[in-house]
Amino acid sequence: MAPTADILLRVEGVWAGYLPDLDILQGVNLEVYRGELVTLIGPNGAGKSTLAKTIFGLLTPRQGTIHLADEAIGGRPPHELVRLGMAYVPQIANVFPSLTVAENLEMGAYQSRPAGVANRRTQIYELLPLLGQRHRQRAGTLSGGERQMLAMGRALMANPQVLILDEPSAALSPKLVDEVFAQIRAINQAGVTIILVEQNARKALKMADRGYVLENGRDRFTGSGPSLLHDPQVAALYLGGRHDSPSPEGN
Amino acid sequence: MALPTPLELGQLVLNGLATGSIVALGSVGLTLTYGILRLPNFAHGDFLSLGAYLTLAANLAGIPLVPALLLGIVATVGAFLASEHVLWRPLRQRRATSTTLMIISIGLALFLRNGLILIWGSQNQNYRLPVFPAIPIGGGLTLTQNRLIVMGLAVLAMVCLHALLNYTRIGKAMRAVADSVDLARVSGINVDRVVLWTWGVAGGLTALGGGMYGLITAVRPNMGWFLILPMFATVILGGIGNPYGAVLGALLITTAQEVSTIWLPTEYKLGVALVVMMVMLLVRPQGLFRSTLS
Repeated sequence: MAPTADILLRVEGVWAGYLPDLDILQGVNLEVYRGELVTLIGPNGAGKSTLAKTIFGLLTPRQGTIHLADEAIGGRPPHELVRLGMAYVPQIANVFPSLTVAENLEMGAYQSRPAGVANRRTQIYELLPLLGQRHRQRAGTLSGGERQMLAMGRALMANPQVLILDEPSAALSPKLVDEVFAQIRAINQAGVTIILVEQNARKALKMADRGYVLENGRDRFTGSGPSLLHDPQVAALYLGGRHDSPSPEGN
Repeated sequence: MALPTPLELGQLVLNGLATGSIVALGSVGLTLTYGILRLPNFAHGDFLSLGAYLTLAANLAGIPLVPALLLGIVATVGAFLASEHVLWRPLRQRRATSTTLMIISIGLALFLRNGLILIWGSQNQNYRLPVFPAIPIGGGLTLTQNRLIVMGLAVLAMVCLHALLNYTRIGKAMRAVADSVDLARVSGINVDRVVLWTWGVAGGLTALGGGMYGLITAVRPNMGWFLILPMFATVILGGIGNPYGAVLGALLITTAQEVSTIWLPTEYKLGVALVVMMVMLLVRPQGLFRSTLS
């Protein structure tokens, strides 16, 4: 549920892909209100991660527009988007393994003034206390769940308005998934708008304000988390049958 | 097999450490550009020669050695940046493979070396410097003043590099780019600027190494080319992209080379570096220390 009717991010009719003649996204639309937690779900190859990458400027839309508030951002490079208040956590290779936890966080605020960096880092340590305990440890020695937290912490260092998370639960044990999801919830409650790409559709919908079901590069269904969770058609197609059965996991 | 006296051995180790500091400077430059830019640069040794020649040119024009060294460093960094601008950046944008880059770097190496011969001739040359007697440093061991200067400056350069990589924003960003270019870009790091800094730092260290190599040996067109093998051996031994590994690798390999002259004719020195590299690749291809390339 949107706290205000203020649209922060709007994707309209976007086509994009990696190879010259192959469009993964085929006219996708997405609207995210300020303060919302929106999840993108759908089968493998539906274009969830591709949409996240296109929003963050890693791919250029061939058609269509992307707006952050009133600013057209389609195709702008990531370092400019970071300055505009966006942050992105990739699915794999999302920490700098040879840098310490503290240095990883510092890299997340590369464009900020040095004086602000230390303060911001203290705030991140309050939000994610585990990182504070490990601040001198090299990121390469962290466990999977710890790395995911560090990756989120790094993205939060620039104090973003919008945080895009690409499958944060991939390759984590069920218990860790719950922990990571609790952190995502906490980050959202701290005022950060979140776009969450997830394979773990059932858990994501339970937590999200709204969800989009993507299929073949288009937005097929949209609605509030619970309504999608209980929609028989969505359940049959993407949640593995009856809505109380175990959710399909991973890739 | 003749056993060396402790004094002989000590002197050889000492000489090895002096040459080792020069190889270390060049290798650190090579490992940074290899690890951060994914470029196996076979022209690296010839840039080292260029550093020596530019220092020589400044010195022969009447400039004292230390300012001449500085001029040589600045001009060589300029040449490194020109190679980035003309060759490496366009090639990266076309997504050239590292094999393509390597072969092009061999071409650049030939171009540079023949350019040096064209401008300065192929004969041995020396800096215009007063001659100092060797200095006894105790236990019957001696060191020339030049070797002392070389070792001192190399240590100073390494301390500065360590501080740069660990305590400055740009240095940490260089390590971040070495870890993952994509994540660096996503974090908002301006990767193009980090690349230029990498050339600047790597080029500066390499040119310093070249300029100082001219202090303990003659300045000649193939001086750097003959170092490329030990430098690559060193980079592999120390873990590609790891500057600390490169320093230790350089000291180990050049000392091994010097000590080998007890049993082998001096011409086989290069072979010793090659053998160390081959054994390393067979036994522990990832290097003695952590590499930034996975």
